[in-house]
Amino acid sequence: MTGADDLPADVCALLHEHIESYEQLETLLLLRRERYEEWTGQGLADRLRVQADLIGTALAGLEASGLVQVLATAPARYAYRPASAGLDAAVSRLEREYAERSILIIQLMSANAIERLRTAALHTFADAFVLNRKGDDRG
Amino acid sequence: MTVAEAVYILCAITSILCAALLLRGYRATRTWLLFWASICFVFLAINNVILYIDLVVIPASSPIDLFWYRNTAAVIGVLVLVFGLVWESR
Amino acid sequence: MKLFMWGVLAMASLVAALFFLRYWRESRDRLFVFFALAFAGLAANWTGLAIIDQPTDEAQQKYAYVARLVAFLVLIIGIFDKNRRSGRL
Repeated sequence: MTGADDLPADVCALLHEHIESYEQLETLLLLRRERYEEWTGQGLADRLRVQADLIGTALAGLEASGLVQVLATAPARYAYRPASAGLDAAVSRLEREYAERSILIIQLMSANAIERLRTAALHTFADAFVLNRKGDDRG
Repeated sequence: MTVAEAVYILCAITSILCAALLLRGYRATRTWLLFWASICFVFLAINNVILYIDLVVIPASSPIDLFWYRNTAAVIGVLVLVFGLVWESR
Repeated sequence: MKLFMWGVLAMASLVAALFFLRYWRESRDRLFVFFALAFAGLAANWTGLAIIDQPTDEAQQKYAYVARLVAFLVLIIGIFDKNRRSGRL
């Protein structure tokens, strides 16, 4: 039997911490495969055949996670630039696992998504007690 | 001020603080769990304020007893909280 | 009837404490541990009042209110702790 616990620990951690959607997964893998290219959001959207605003959200998350960097502005151009060697190793293992056992990866991502939904209200509750919250107007 | 008075005042202020923070969080995110919890703390604050009035402001010899008022507020508060916790948990 | 009311309050607080314990397990945010302890403290306060069952002697009741004080102090400490942690991020 193979289950999600068969996946390497760093791949599980990467998916848990940084990959929230399938477009994010595909964007990351595409950027890594063609890491010497610089991509615009629209270019990625055309290549992956999804709406540009979905790619925009995905890229913002990947940038915040230290996986992708903005190399030029107007229009913004993105490239795969992992913040650490460990992160790069995890993405390379993710690429291999996704090629070989994509169903396991998808199962784990779905489980993570359900968990995120479940705990979202709890984190909102706990964050309500932060007194001097920056970005108070985000709601 | 006696120790007992300080305790009642502290409890009241803490309840009001919690209620205000949770209400602010609810308004920002529209998460119902925060709404139910803030209502709970509003009633706990009422409970603490009436407790202070009942045990400190009104002399012990007075026949006025606010027991039912303050504890009804507390019961409403904790029941609303338990309702919210049960309702919002999947 | 007073005993019944204290019983309702104690039981409901205890249930709330258990929920907060579960929320801690799910979210790993220790603010929920403080909430669980606080509501357990409130349950102790109301259980204590019921055990003392002394509506006329306020000196006796004050023992129970120590538990209430502890409960609200735990809440304050929890809120401070939460702010200290998020300030560090």
